[in-house]
Amino acid sequence: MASPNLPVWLYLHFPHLQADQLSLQNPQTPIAILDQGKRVWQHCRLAQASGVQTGMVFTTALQLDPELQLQPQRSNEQQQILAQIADYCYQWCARIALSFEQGLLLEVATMWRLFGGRANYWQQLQQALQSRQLRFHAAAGTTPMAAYVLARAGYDLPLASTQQLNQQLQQLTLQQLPLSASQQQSLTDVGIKQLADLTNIPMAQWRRRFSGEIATWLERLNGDKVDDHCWFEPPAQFVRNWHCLHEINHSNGLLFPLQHMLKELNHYLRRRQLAACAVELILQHREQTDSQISLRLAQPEHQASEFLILARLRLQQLSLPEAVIGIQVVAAELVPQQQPATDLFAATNSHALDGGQLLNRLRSRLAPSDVKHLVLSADPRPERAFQLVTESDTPITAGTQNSGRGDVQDNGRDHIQDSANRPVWLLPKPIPLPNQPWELKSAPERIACGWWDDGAIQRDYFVAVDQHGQLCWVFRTPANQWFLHGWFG
Amino acid sequence: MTQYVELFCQSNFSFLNAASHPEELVERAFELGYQGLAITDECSLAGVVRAHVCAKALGLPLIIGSYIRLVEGEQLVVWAPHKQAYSELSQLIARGQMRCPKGHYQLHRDDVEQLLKTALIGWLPHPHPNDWQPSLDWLQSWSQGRLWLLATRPLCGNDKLRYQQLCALAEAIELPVAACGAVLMHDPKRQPLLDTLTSIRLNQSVQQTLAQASTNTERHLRPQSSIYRLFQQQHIEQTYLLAQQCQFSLDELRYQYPAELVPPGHTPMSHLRQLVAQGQQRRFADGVPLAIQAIIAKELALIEELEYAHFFLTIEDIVRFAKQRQILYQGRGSAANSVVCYCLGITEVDPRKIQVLFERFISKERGEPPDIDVDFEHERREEVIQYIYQKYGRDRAALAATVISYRFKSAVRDVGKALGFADSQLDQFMANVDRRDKQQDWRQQLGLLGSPDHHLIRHFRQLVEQIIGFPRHLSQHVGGFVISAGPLHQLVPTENAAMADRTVIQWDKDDLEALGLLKVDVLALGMLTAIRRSFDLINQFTGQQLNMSQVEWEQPAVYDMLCQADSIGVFQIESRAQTNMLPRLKPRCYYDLVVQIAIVRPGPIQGDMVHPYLRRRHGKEPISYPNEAVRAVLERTMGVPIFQEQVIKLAMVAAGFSAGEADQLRRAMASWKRNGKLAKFEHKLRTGMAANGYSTSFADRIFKQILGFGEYGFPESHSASFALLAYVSAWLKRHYPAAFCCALLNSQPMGFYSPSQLLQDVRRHGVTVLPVDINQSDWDHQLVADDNQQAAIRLGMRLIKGLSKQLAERICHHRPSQGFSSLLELQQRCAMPRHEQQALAAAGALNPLTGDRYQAHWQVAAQANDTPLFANIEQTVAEPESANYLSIPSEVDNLLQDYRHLGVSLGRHPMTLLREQQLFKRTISAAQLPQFSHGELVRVAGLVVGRQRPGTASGVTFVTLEDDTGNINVVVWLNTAREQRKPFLQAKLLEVHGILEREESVIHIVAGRLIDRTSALEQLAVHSRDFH
Repeated sequence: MASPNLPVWLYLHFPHLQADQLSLQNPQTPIAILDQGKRVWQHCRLAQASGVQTGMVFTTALQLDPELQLQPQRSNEQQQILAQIADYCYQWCARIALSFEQGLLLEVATMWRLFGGRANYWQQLQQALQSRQLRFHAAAGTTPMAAYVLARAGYDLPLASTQQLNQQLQQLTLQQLPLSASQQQSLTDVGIKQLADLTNIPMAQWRRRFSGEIATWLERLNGDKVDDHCWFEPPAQFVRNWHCLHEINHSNGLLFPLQHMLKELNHYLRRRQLAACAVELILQHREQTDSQISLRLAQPEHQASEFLILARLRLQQLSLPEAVIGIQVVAAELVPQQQPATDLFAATNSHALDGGQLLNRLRSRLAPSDVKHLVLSADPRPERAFQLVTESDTPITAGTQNSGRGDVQDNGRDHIQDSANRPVWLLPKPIPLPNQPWELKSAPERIACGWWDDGAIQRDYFVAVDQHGQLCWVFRTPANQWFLHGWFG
Repeated sequence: MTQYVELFCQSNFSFLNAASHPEELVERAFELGYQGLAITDECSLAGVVRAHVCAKALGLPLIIGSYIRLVEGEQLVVWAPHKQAYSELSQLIARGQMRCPKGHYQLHRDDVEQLLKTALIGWLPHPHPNDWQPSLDWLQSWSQGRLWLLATRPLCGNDKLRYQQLCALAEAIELPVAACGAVLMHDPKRQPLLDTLTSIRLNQSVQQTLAQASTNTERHLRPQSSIYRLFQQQHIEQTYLLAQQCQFSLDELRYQYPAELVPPGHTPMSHLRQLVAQGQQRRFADGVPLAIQAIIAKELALIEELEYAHFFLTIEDIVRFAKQRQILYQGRGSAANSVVCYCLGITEVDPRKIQVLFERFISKERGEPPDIDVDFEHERREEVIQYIYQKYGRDRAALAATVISYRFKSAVRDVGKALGFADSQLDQFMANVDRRDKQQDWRQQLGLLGSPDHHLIRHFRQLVEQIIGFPRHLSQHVGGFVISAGPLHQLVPTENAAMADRTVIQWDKDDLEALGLLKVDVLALGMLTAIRRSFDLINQFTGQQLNMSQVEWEQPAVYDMLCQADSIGVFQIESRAQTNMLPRLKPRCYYDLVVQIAIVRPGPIQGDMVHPYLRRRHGKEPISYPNEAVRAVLERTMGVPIFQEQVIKLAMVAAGFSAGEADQLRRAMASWKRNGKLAKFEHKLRTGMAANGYSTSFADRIFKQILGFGEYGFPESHSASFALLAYVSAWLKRHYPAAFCCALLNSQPMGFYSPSQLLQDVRRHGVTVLPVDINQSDWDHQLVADDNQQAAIRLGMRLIKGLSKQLAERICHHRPSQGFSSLLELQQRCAMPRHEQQALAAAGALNPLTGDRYQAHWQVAAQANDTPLFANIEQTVAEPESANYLSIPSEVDNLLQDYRHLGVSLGRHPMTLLREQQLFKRTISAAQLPQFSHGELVRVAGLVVGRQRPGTASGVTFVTLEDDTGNINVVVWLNTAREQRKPFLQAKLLEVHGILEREESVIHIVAGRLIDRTSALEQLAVHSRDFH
C-alpha cells in the first residue's frame, strides 16, 4: 500500500448544512430539509430537540413537531454556502476543495509549521469554524477518502494518529460507509458487516463478482488510487442568497435580509481591499420572472451603510409585482479600494455628499432599462394586459396566446379580442366620468374576472364619441358609474 | 316573457369543463321559470339520469342531448325528440367513444350523417363567417327540417355583430334560429371554480392559464328578463317550438332480456316455474314445508306480476355455468331472503334457518328491481366474466360505471396546485389534517398555508368545498353487469374502461336503479378460493373426494374451538374485534354465528345493542316483550334488534309503517348522518308506537338503536350467507389445519392476517412447516408428509420477494427427480437472470446446494457475471466450492434475512433470542397473561405488528404486539399516545407497562408507559430491518 504515513488530510463534514444556514436566518423556526423521497435529510437544532431524525418520513416528523417548516434540498445553495466557508477558511489553508457532497477537504500538513504545530493549527481553525455556527465533524486521514469516511460517519478526530484512525476505520459498519444502497446490499448479502470484514476478502475474487466500484472505492481509501482535486479559488465576485421561509409582500420586508447580506458584502470587500461599482439585487418570485434592481454608484463603494441607503431609496419607489420568495445579492464589478483622497479636486469622492446631491446622482444613474416590468399579457383585464416591457421580453398579447379558434367552447373563454376593440392609448388608471358620456357607438363588452389576485372587476365596456368627436373607450360598473379608459386613434 | 328553454347546457359530467352538478342546473332552471332544460354534456349521457330524477320531482321538462365536436371542425348540439332519436344519439356517442382510449372520443361527418336519422341538430357557427358555407352546405344536404342555427350572446367583443350576421344568414337560407346560453354553470359565483377546473385540466396554475380563463360570467343560467333583452322574440319562440318537439323521457326506457334463455315452447315464467320446481325437490328432499310452499307461491306471483322472470333466468344461467366449471360461488345480500333463489341454487341460505323477508328483496311499492350479488372465487371470477361476454357479446353485455369524484385529498392537491401553492406546502397541510377523527377541522388548519384572511386562502377553502363530489372520470364498477336483448348502446352509450377488453356504460348503479334497469353483480371473494383449494389439497393428500356437501354441520368441536377465540383464518370472525367477542358470546350453533358476524360492527356497538344482548344470552337480564308481535320479530335475538330487517319489521309491526314506508326508513337510516332526514320518521315512529300502546321508554330505546344503526345496520340475509362460509372455514381449520392454512396462503392476498401470522398460528397448533427449498418447493405452498406421516406445509417459492412465477415453473419443470446437485447444474438447466438468482439466494432457497446464504450469493455472483468472453477461461470451473474467507450467518442474521426476503421466518422468534440475551426478563409473555387477574400491573413486550384506530372509539389506538407465544392486545388512549409520541409512533419493538384488564378470557393491557426497545433488535445484528 502506498499510503503516506502522516494524516495530511483534514475533512470537514457539515451534516445539516442547509438547515443550519436557514436556521441562522430564521432562528425561531424549526426546519427540516427533505430529500427527493420526502424523507428528512437534514434538520436544525430546534427540530432535533423535538425528536426529528434523519431518514424519518416527513409525516412522522410533522407529528413530532407540528411547527416544523419543510424545505426541499437545494444542492446549488449548499455549494454556495460551502464556497463561502471555503472562502472564509482561505486564511488558514491554501489548498481547499469542495469535496464529496457536503464538505471541505483540506490539505493541512503544509500549514502546521506556519501555525506552530498541529494542535495549535487545529485550535485556530476550529475557533474560526465554530464562529460560523454551522455544525460539522472534522476528521483527519491519510487519504482524502479516509478522512471523508470518518467525518461523514460523525467522528471528530482532527488530531488522531494514523494508528488510531485506522483502528476506527476498520470498525465502521456498512451503513457508515458512503456506498450506494445496491452496493451495501451486495456486501450484506455475503455477510459483510464491517469494513474489517471487507478487507479480509481477496480483491481479485471481489472484482470477478461485482462491478469494480467497490474495489475502486477501497483503492481510494487505501491510497492505491489518487484522486484529482479541483482546488478552490476565491471567487471574483460576491454572491449571496437568502431563501425566504415566508413570502415578503411589501418592499419594506426586504430590508432585514438585505441588511444581513450587505454586511457580509462589507466583510468580503474589506478582506480583499476591494470596492464595488454596482450591486445587483435580484428578487425571486413564484410565478413571474425575477425582478432585478441595479444599485449603481457614482464611485466604487465598500461601506455597507452606503449600500443600504441606496437600497432603501430604490425600494421606496418599488411596488412588488408579486410576493418575493428569495433574494440574491451580486457584486461583480469589483475594483481595488482607493485610499481616501488627498486630492483637493476629488471633492466628489468624499463621502460627505448631501442627500439631494446623492439622489440626483442616483437618478441619473438609473436607466429605465435597469428595471424590468413584468407582463401578464394573457390577463383579460385591460390594464393588466398592456404593461410596458423591456426589449428582452417579447410581449405576448391576448391575441397570439389564445390557441383556439375562438369558438364558443374554447375552454370557456370567448373568442379572440379583436384589436379593433382596444384603444391605442390606454390610461394607466381609468378616470371617473361624472355623467353618462356622449354617444355610445358599440354594443357592450362585458369583462368580469380577476378573482384570482383579489383584483376582480365587473365592467361593461363601450366605444363612445366625446364632445370633440374623439373615439374613446368607456365602461360602466354595476353601480352605474362611468369611467374613461382610453382613446382610439 | 316566460317561454325560454335552455337547449345548450353542460354539467360537471363534461368532466372538468363545467362547474355545476346536473341537479343544481335543473333546480336553478326551475327557479328561473324556464319552460324546460336540456342537459347536453360533451359526447356523454353520464349525467342525464341524475338530471332526470331531479327534473321529474320538480316537474321541469328535461330534454336529453349531447354536445359534439367533429374532427372536421363543426360543433353540434344534438337533441332527442323521441325514443328512436335517443337510440341514435346513444349509438353515435358509443361509436365516438369506443374507437378511442378512455377519456377521448372521435366523430366524423360520416358518423353523424349515418346515424342521426331523426334526431334534431343545432349548429354553432365558427367565429368567422367566411368559414360558414361549407359546413352549412354539408348539414343542409341531409338534415332537412331538423336543423337549427344556434345563437349565443356571451357579451364579448363582437358578439352583437355576430348575432346580426347570423340573423341575416338565417333569413337568407331560411333556417330557424334557436337562442341558447352555452351554459357552463348554474350561478355566476361559480366562475372561480370554472377557471380552476380549466387550470386543472391543463395541469397548470390559474396564473399560467389566464389566456384560457373566462372573461366574464355570462355562461350561466340567466334570468329570462336578460335573455329577452339579448335575443329577438322570434328566436326565443323558435327555441320553444324546438323544445316542444322533444317529448322523450328516460322513463320510456325498458329493456328486453336475452331471449335465448327460454327454451322453445316455454314462456320465461313457465320456464322459471319449472326450474324452481326442480330445485325444490333437490333442496327439500324430505318434502317442502307448507309455510315454505306458501312463500314460494307468493314470490313467483310477484315475479310474474313485475315481469322479472328473465332476471332470475339470467342469473340462474350464470351460476349454472359456475357449477359446471366447479367454481365456488355464493349469492349474498338481500337475495338470500328469496326462497326462489334458494331453489334455483343462487343462494345457499336455508330459509328454514333464518327469517326471510321477501319484501326486503322485491316489493311492489319500492318499484325497484331486485339486487342480486353473487360472490365467486376471486381467482376464477374472470372466467365467469368472460363467459358472460362470450355468451351475450360485447355489444349486449357491459359493466356499470363507477363515478370517480373528488375527495378531500385530491381536491386539496388539484385546487392547491391551481392556486399556486407549492407541493411541500400542500404536503404539510394534508399531513397535519387528521381526517378520520375530526371531519370539520381541515378548515381550522388553513393557517398552515397562509393567513386565513388572504384572498387565496379564502378561495382555496371555497373551491375545495365546492369541488368535493365533482365527478372526475368514469371507472368500471367492480362487477355490476348490464345484459340486454338488443345492443346495449341503443339504451345507453358505452365507452372504453382503462382496463383492456373492458367496456363500461356511462351510467352507474344508482342511475340504473333510478331507471329501473337490472344489473347482476359478479363479485369476487377470496375465501371461496381458499375453501376450494383446501378441498383440493385434502383430496390430493388423502385420496378422498371431499367437497362442500360433506362438511359436517353443527359439530360441537368446531364451536368449542371458536369459543376459545381460536379463529385465525376463519372467515369474518378472525379480526381482533371478533376474537374479543367470541369468548363473550360463545357461539354454539349456526344462528349464533349469524349474530356474531353482525354484532361486531359499529352500528350495534353505537346503538348499545351488544351489552344487552350478551347479558340476556347469559341469563343475567330478563327478557320481556311488550307483546306477541314484537316477540315474533325479536325473539331470535333475545329481544334486541341486531339486524336491519328487524328494525324494518318493527317499524311495520309496532308503528304501523307500510312496507314501502319502512323501506324508506331503511334508506334514511343509511344516510341520516349526512342529511338528517330521520327527523320526520322519528315523529311517525313515536306517534305510531304510542297509538299502538307502546311505552315511551320502549320507543326511546328503539329510536336510539335506529340512530346507532346508521349506515352500519347489517342485513340478516347477508350475515346468514357469510355465516355459512364462516362455519365451513372453521370446520376446515379444526379438522384439516395444515390444508386450510396452506390454502389460505395460496389465496393471498386476503383476510386479516399476514402469512407470517398465519404460519405462526398453524405451528402453534402442531403443524410442521418446511422451508423453501430449491429441490422440493413448487411455486405454491404444498401439503406434504412429515416424518410422522402427518400433513405438513412445504413453503412455496411464491413467498420469495423478487421471484417471478414463470421462473419458478421453469425450475420445477427442469428439476431432475433427485433434485439439482449443484448451483452450476441449476444454472445450466435453467437460464435465470441474475436478480432472480439473487432472490433465490437471499431467501435461503439455495442452501441445500451451497450450505448457507452467504456462500449462495457468493457463488451466484461468480457465475452470473461471466460474460461470454470469459466463458471458456478456467476460472469458471476452478473456483473452490466454499470461500472460507466469508463469515457464516448467525441465527439472527438468518432470521433477519428470512423476514426481509420471505416475510416469514421458521427459526426462533426474535423475542426468544432477546430473552436468551437476558433482556426483557421482567416482562410476561402472551401465553402467561391468562394467569394474571384483572387490575394487575404487568409488563409486556413484543414486535409491533398492528396499529388500528377504529373510527368509533375516540382517539384510542389498538396496538397488537407479537411475541414468541402469541399476540398481545394493547390499548393506548389518546393522551398516552400524545405524551409518549416518540415510542408510540416509531417503535418496532415496544415494551409496555400497564394494567391488565380482563373479561373472562378476553385480555387487554391498557398502556401506561411505552418504551421503545427497537435498539435491542438493532444490537442483535449490525442492521435491523422489517419484521412484517
